[in-house]
Amino acid sequence: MKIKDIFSMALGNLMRRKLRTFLTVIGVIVGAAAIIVMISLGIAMNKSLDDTISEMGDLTIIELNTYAYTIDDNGNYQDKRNLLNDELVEKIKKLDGVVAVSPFVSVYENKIVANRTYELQGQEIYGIDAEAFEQFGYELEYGDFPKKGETFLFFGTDTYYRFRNPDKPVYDYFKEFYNTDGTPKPPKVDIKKAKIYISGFSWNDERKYEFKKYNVQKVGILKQKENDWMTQYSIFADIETVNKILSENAKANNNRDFKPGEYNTVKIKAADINSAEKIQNTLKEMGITTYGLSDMRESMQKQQGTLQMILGGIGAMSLIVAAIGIANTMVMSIYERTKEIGVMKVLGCKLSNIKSMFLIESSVIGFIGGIFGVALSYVASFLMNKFMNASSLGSAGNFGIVTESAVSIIPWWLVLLSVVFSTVVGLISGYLPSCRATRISALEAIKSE
Amino acid sequence: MSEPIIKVDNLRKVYKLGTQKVVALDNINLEIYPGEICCILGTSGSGKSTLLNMLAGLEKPSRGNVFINNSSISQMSEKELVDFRQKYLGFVFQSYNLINSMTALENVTLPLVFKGKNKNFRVKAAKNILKTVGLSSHLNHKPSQMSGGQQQRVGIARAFVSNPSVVFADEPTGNLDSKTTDEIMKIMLDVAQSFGQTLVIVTHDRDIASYANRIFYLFDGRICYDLHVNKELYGNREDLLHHIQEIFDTEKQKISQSKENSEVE
Ligand SMILES: Nc1ncnc2c1ncn2[C@@H]1O[C@H](COP(=O)(O)OP(=O)(O)OP(=O)(O)O)[C@@H](O)[C@H]1O
Ligand SMILES: [Mg+2]
Repeated sequence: MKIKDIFSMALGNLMRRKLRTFLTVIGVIVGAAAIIVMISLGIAMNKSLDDTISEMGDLTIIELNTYAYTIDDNGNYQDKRNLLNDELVEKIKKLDGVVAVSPFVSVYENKIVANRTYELQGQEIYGIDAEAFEQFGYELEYGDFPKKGETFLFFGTDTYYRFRNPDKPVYDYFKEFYNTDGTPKPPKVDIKKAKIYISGFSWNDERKYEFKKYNVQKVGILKQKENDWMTQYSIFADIETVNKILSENAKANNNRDFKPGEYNTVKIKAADINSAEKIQNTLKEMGITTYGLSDMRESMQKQQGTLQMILGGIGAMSLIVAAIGIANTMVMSIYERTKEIGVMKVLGCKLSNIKSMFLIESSVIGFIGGIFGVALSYVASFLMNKFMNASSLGSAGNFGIVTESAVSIIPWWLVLLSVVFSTVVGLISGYLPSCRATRISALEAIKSE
Repeated sequence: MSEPIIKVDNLRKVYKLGTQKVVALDNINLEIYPGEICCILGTSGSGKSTLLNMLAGLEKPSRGNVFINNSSISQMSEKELVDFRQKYLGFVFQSYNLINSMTALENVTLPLVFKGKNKNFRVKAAKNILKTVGLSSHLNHKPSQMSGGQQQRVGIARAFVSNPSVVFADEPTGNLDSKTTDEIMKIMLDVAQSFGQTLVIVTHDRDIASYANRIFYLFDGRICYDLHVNKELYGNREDLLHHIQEIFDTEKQKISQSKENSEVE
C-alpha cells in the first residue's frame, strides 16, 4: 500500500466517527495543555529566580571572606575563618574555569590630589590586580585598561564630582556639589587632564600624618553597571599602591594585626555559572568557605524543584488520562470494525498496513490534540500572565524581592516538544490496539453476519 | 494438460468441540486446472465452506496439503498468506461484505489500493470492471443505496479487479432471488472466462452447479463424485440437471447400501 493511501484511509476512519474523534482529541488537548502550562510555570519560576539573583549581582563571581559563616547540618550558624593569602590566590588561579582571581583590599585613609589644589578625601579605594580588572567585567567610560605592573586609578561615576579645594570652607555640602534641582554640578577638576597622585594619611594624637605620594600612570572613569554599586561609588586602584598605603598606615598606628600578603576578601571570576559551581565545590574540599550568588540560587531552586515536580505530576496525570482515552477510542473503533478489518485481510491488505493505519489514526489524534493543546496553553498562559501575580508563585517572593516577571513562559522548544510528545503518546496508546487489529481472524470476520 | 492450479493432497479437517471430535473433511484429493469453473456441491453441513476456506488458506487443515500455483499454502504464515491472497486470489461472499462507508467505486478499487497501484490506474480498472458488471451508473453509490443484486455485482467487480488467478465464491447468490441469481452467475462466468480465470463456487443449489464445467459432490466431508461436464453432450441445462440428479441419486444409494452392509457385517 502507498503511504498516501494508508494516510487517507486512516483519516477517513477518523472522519467517519467525528464526534468520538472530537471528544478524544479534546481529552488530548486538555492533557497537552495541562502539561505545557505546568512546565511553563516552572520555566517562569526559574526565570524570575534568575532575574532576581542577577539583579543582585553577577552569578559567575565568587567571593571569599576571612570571616565566614557556615550553616551546619542542624541549621546553626558557625563562625569560621578562612586564611586568604597570596599562596591561595596562586592556587585558585590554576583551577579549571577560573578566569581571574584578585584580592580586594580597601583603604579609607587616603586622599587623592588633583592639580595640587583639589582633593578628594576619605573615599574608599579598592585595590585590585591590574590584570584582573578587565576580566571581572568592569568597563571604562574613559581611559585604557591597565597592563600588568601599571599603577592606575579608576573613578566610579559618582566620585570625581567630589573634588574640592580643602582650603575653602564648606557651609553646605549639598550646595557645594549639586544644583538646586538636584542635578550634579560639573566637576571642579577635569580629571582627564589633571595631574593626579594618591597618598595615605592617618590621624594620631590629634595630629595628621601625611605619607608618601604615589603618582598614577592611568586615570579612568568606570562605566556604570546597573546592578553593581561599586561602579558608581567606589574608586579602584592597583593593589600594590593600596597595599603600600595600608602598611604605612599600620606602621603609623602600630597595628600588629596587619599582615602583608593576607587579605580580607578575594574574588574569583568564573567562566560561567557551571564552572562557578565547580570551583566552589573544589574550594569547599580545600576547606574554604565561599559565598556566591549561585549558592543562593541553588537553595532556591531546590525549593522550587519540589513545587515544579508536583505541577509536572498534575500535567502528566492528565496526559495519561488522555492516553487512556486514545487507547479506549482505538479499541472501540477496532471492535466496531472487526468485520471490515477481516474483509480487508481477506482482500489482501498486509498486516503491516493495517497496523500502520491504526497507528496513524492514534498519532493523528495525538498530533491534533497537541497542536490545539499548544493553542489552549497559549491562551491560558496569556490569561495567567495578565491576572496573576508572579510573586504569588515560586520562592523568589519569599525572599522579599519582587521582580516584574511572567507567571508562565512558553518557549518555542516547549511548543515543538509538546506536539511531538503528544503525537508519540498517541502512537504508544495506539500500539496495543493496532496489534489487536492485526490479530483479527479473517475467517471469523467473513463468517459473522 | 497443463499443470493444475490447485492441488489438494489428502486433506483432513477435524474440529474439536470439548471432548467431541467433528470430522468436517476427510481424505480430500483433487486437482483443479486453470480456467476451470468448479462447483463444490453438497447439502448443508457437508463441509463445503470448510473446504473452500482451506483451499483459500483462510483455515489450516488438520492434515494434508493445499497447493496453489505449486506453493503449499498450508505451510504459510499469516503474513505470507495475506501477501499470497493479494497476488493470486479473489473472493466473493454470500453477504457481499462491502465496506459500508465507501462507494461502489472505492470498494472495487480496494484490492488495487492494497497492491499499491496508483490512483489513475485504480480508478480506470475499477470503472472498467464495474462497466462489465453493468454498474456504470452506480459508481458513487454506497452499499446501503443499492439492492442485493447490485451489491453482489460490486462484490464480483471487487473480486476480479486485480485480475487474480483464482476466485473463490461461497454461496454468492445465497441471498438473492432466482432471477437475480441467474444474472449474477452469468456475469461471474463471463468475466472469469474472458480472462481465463479459475472459479471455485460453493453452493447447495444444483441449478447453480449446472453453470460449472466441473462439479465436486461433497457428502459428509468426502468428495463422492468428481464430474467433468462436457457441455456439448447436453442439449440444454435441463438435460444436464437431470443427469446430475441421476448421478447423485445413485451415489446416495451406493453410500446408504455400503452403510447398511457395514452395519450388517
Ligand atoms: N468452527 C467450527 N467449529 C466446529 N465445527 C465446525 C466449525 N465450522 C464448521 N464446523 C462443522 O463442520 C461441518 C461442515 O461445516 P460447513 O460450514 O463446511 O458446512 P457447509 O457445507 O458449508 O454447510 P452450509 O451449506 O449450511 O453452509 C459442520 O458439521 C459444522 O458443524
Ligand atoms: Mg457454508
